[in-house]
Amino acid sequence: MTNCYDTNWFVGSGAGFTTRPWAQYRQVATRTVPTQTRTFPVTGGGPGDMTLQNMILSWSNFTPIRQIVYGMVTRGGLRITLTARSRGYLITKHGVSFGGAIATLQEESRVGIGAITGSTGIFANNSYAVVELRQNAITMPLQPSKSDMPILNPGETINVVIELHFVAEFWQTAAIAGGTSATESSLTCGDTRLDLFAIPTP
Amino acid sequence: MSIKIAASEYLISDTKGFGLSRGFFPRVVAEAFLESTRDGDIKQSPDPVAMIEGDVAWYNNSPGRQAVAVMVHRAPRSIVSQSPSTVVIHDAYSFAIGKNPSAAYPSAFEDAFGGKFQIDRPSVAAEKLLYGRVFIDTDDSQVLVNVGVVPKGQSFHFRYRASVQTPGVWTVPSEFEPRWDVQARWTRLVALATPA
Repeated sequence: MTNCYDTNWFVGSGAGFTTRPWAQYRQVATRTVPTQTRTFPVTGGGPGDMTLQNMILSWSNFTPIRQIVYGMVTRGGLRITLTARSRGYLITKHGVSFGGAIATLQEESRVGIGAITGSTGIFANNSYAVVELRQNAITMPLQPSKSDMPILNPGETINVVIELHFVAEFWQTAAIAGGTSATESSLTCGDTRLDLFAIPTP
Repeated sequence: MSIKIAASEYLISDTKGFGLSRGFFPRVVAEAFLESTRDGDIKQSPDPVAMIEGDVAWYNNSPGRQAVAVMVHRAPRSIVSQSPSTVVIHDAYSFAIGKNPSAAYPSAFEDAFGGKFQIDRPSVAAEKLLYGRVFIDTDDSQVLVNVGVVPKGQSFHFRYRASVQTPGVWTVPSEFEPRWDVQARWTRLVALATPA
């Protein structure tokens, strides 16, 4: 006997008749990477381009129907403290690939700070200053620069890569006037979480 | 009149017909708009002082389990700080699920907005302070908080607090007028539910 309803969307059992779990929008995968803190020497060699956090999350469409997939990337609270004349920023890179392909990462977000004080002249490079920026946790869409959302056929797999880098654009080369007391160059980047959601589509 | 069939919590079958229940659809189940009570000038606050406080709760009266997330939407925020002091607005939240839940008072120190621009060491005397003032403004921002699955007949309770703090050194200049200012404005909490 054949069922008089679409078994891709509904299921009947002794307990009654119900919708399939994949027949509605839902969260399908999540991953979190923990907080990172770094402290750097105030002068001399800076950190360059340093990877702070990275993660890979995959989801396979094991359901019998096509699913639209989208992601939300939540970065925890951020603090960047830098002694003049260093400038640095945090960048968030997103990458998406399908099946066995390797994702290409692309910068999607940037936040940073830097300060210089003092007057002009050849000795104007070592004045004391410390600048600090804090930014709240934020949730942003996965790959906000892309307007389409991928559709996975049954059996297909999506792979998402998220990387957070701290990039020192410039690092103080001179010794700070008055010594290193009360100087600081450091940062804290909170938990970063990736959530994947799926929306069934006929 | 239609035949009534045995159906799950996400479907309705009654004498009027057969269909999907409200609990099957993703929807906003509760909202709260919270306003700041302390925007403007501030004084030294070594411990956080509440600016925005509030909560949102929802009772799952649907016949099925519901997955709940809360979107915390903050207003654009601003601070003004005088060298050498730091001014930050902390965001914190907590939640609980249960028959009669009461979330603990939130405290967190990793989710903040603000900063400093310090051009004198902390040891400097008030009359020797250099003049330095920083203005930091940010766009509005949202953060998605996964609360979890609320069983039928239970509730969730979500508490939110934004507070201002001035950690570290605080020197009041004697030779010019200082200025310290915070604007937290508002926060909106939106609770979203989907079948689980």
